[in-house]
Amino acid sequence: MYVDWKNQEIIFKIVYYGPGLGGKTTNLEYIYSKINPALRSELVSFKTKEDRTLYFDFMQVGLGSIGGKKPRFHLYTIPGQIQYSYGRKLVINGADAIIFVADSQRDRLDENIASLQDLREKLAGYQKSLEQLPWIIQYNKRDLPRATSIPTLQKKLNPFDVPYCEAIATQGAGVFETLKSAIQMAMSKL
Amino acid sequence: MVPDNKSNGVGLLFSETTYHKISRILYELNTRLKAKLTIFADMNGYAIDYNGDTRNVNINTLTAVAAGSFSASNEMSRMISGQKHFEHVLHEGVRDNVYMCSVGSEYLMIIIFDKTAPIGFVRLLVHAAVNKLSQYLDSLKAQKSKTAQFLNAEFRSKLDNEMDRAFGLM
Ligand SMILES: Nc1nc2c(ncn2[C@@H]2O[C@H](COP(=O)(O)OP(=O)(O)OP(=O)(O)O)[C@@H](O)[C@H]2O)c(=O)[nH]1
Ligand SMILES: [Mg+2]
Repeated sequence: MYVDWKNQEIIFKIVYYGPGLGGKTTNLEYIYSKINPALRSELVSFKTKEDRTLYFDFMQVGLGSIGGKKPRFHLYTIPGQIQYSYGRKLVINGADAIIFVADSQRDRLDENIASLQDLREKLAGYQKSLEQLPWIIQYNKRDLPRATSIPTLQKKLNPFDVPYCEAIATQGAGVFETLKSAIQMAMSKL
Repeated sequence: MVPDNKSNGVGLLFSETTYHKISRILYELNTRLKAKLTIFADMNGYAIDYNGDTRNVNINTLTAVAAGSFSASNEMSRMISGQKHFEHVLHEGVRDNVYMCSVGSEYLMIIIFDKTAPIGFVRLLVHAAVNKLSQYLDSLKAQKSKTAQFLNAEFRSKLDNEMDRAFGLM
């Protein structure tokens, strides 16, 4: 969290983590397309020719003033592809809340587990752990016929029983609910 | 610019003096360099203060991207030379150049200036400003830990309402 006294802004950093192709960038794109343009910045994407995140995506979302303070949210996505490890390390630093976007497809379960493990390692690099940090899970791609059941996903990916949302990011279902829930988590842990 | 001491009856414990001193350093640097924009940021990409022309830029986006790019350049130099550099990076643009330079290990200075300005001169003045800024870093850090006091239950419930409205969740 950062307080910008000059503009009376309180800024939170929210990071979308998760395996490659899970739908992190799609979450941001949906928010970008639906929210009142006056409330958001441009969506900046460092991406490959194939539209995969190379470094991070960034967008700021701002809400109306509360008691003279303007809440602002810096939304970042990490690059899920294994080889872009440095981008993940860079972006995760200083996160106030993490949204783990899991890919519900049956054959992606191992990638989800590996990404969660990678997240733990990245946090450990900053002497942080998932136990202390506010985080939530988004089970994305619920529209696909080969989606793993929620109880199975919960068992494999959610040992601490953190809040979760179901989503279809391409259609927007669950996208804003996830963001709201992550912001509430960030607030409650302050 | 000055903290609102009355909100929630809690003083925000912000050292006005530190802030003014930093502002002053940025102002002097930006003016002497005839730069377009000078930003003092933390490595996480938050703009702490800036001076110059912000009409055509979103400061927050620019700072987030600059901090990411600075960090990437440093990572590259670490890979090549095997050590962490954290010093400076110059991007040459079509009309403007961007010079970035670390301030301690946690902060960053970003200067956008006309391509015609001699880079040696820019470097000299920026480094002098960075030296001056360095003495205020401890005091900045101390303030960081004291900022969450107004985020009370009332703030949170109002924030929930704001989110429902902005996110179309009602
Ligand atoms: N069917 C379906 N497809 C989705 C959903 N969400 C995202 N996708 C698709 O999945 C693909 C990858 O989405 P991205 O948002 O780019 O994935 P990412 O997590 O940002 O991937 P990296 O940048 O590589 O880490 C795209 O083709 C999306 O259209 C969903 O809910 N359902
Ligand atoms: Mg992506």
